[in-house]
Amino acid sequence: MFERFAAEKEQASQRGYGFYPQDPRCTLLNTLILFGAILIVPRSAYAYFMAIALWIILQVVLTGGSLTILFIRLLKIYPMIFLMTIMLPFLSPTERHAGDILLSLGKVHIYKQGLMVFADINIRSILLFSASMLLLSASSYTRLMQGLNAWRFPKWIAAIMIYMYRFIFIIAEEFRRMHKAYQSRHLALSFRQKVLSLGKISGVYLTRIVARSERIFMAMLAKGFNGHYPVMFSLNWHKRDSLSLALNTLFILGIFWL
Amino acid sequence: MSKLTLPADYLKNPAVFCEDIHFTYPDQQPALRGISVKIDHGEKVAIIGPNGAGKSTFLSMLNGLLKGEGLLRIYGLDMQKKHDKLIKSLVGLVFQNPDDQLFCPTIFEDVAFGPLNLGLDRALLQERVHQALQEVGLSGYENRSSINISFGEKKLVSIATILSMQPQIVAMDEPTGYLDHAHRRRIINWIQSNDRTVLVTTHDLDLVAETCRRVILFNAGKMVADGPVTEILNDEPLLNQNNLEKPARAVSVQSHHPLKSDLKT
Repeated sequence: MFERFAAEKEQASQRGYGFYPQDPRCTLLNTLILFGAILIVPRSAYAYFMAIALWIILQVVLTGGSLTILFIRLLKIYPMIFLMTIMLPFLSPTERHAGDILLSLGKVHIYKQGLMVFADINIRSILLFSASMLLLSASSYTRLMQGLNAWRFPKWIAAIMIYMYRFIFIIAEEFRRMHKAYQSRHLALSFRQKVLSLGKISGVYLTRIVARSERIFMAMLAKGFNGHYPVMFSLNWHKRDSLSLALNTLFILGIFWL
Repeated sequence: MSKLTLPADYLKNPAVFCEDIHFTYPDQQPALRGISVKIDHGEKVAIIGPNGAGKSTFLSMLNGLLKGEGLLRIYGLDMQKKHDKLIKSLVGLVFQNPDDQLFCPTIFEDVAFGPLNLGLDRALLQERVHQALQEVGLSGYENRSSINISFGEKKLVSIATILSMQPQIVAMDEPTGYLDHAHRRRIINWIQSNDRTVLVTTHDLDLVAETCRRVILFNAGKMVADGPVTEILNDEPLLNQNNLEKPARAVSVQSHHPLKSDLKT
């Protein structure tokens, strides 16, 4: 009865077809394999990258996840990756050869090797981010933590991660409250005054978060909390999980072998 | 099945027995100074007093959240580390601000948090959560987020989070603060209708008059008075001396929640 309820409760994160929903241990292993594959693909092996990208897209579809959401999230994160790597094509290689320079704009040159490194890092980053998104869409955060526990991941790190996840909502809520209070009283402030008041607010905000966290921790202690986060779901490794793991492994081995 | 085992005859002991308890906060501010009190099982007791009287500190000590000096026993169990889980399962603490008590993404998880910590079998968990939510009139709220419900409902969910642990003592800190009439009435009805030991710290003396037969008055960490509600809430000079105001309605003996001594007869 409980399992049925739990399944209903996690419906949003557990929708899927074929191999999904998955045991979080299997999801973690599959993601680890994908991460490994993305990292060991030889540089400029674009066919491999393409195959892995298609494999991720297929799995996102199978989890019931939305490709549009994946794309939107990629668009949000990509500018950061781009900014971090934008200078790479302009860096001169240590060993210079004829034909290194692809394009010259006065004193500024775009180097072939730099451009390849730029493309390589960008593609790998996008694929790694997509694989992480797949991990989160295939299983709820709580279940992933349970999966990590099952794989002997240090419990204290898992506990910290799960509290961080819990506290995100609280931090956001506290911010909303303070922002509301600020909006209700801030008049026509100059830019300088705004910056000054926001600086003061951010200090108070941190203090409030700490105080609130402490009160919540007291409430947890009052309910018998002893440092170990209790989980409501039991893990069940099904045949489809073994099949999924085997297929994922075979696919990754296959693209390297072929 | 719960892994906690209570002594067979624990209900024969006083629900709360404390003798000369003291508590001082780390900033050296004494919060409780020599409190001695005995509360029997099934009693509904109001702890009143001005702000900073030590009421909330006292409630926190009952649950073992704060540890002070002196003798404190809950159903005969003293506040030793080995009794920690048992005491937490016996004393359910409802905080003043429900936002501090609700921290999980869904109400189901919040209500299930306590029983899971106490080692309740997962198979019984759903039933326990349903029971607790049903008791406060919030059946069907399991999958909702506690962020998107009204303050009154948050208060009721907070109560459900401790009811799911099936405590014998429910200690409530300002249960009707900021509540509208309808939610205040629901909480009053709930206190009146259940047969657990209920301790309420509040400034709402009308609530006290309606729900409790015994009142303990604290001021500056000391117990100033302890007696029947009719006696204390009608003593205007005593209330005024302690920054309290006599309730608007006259306080008379109520028949629906008798004193423990009345129960025995």
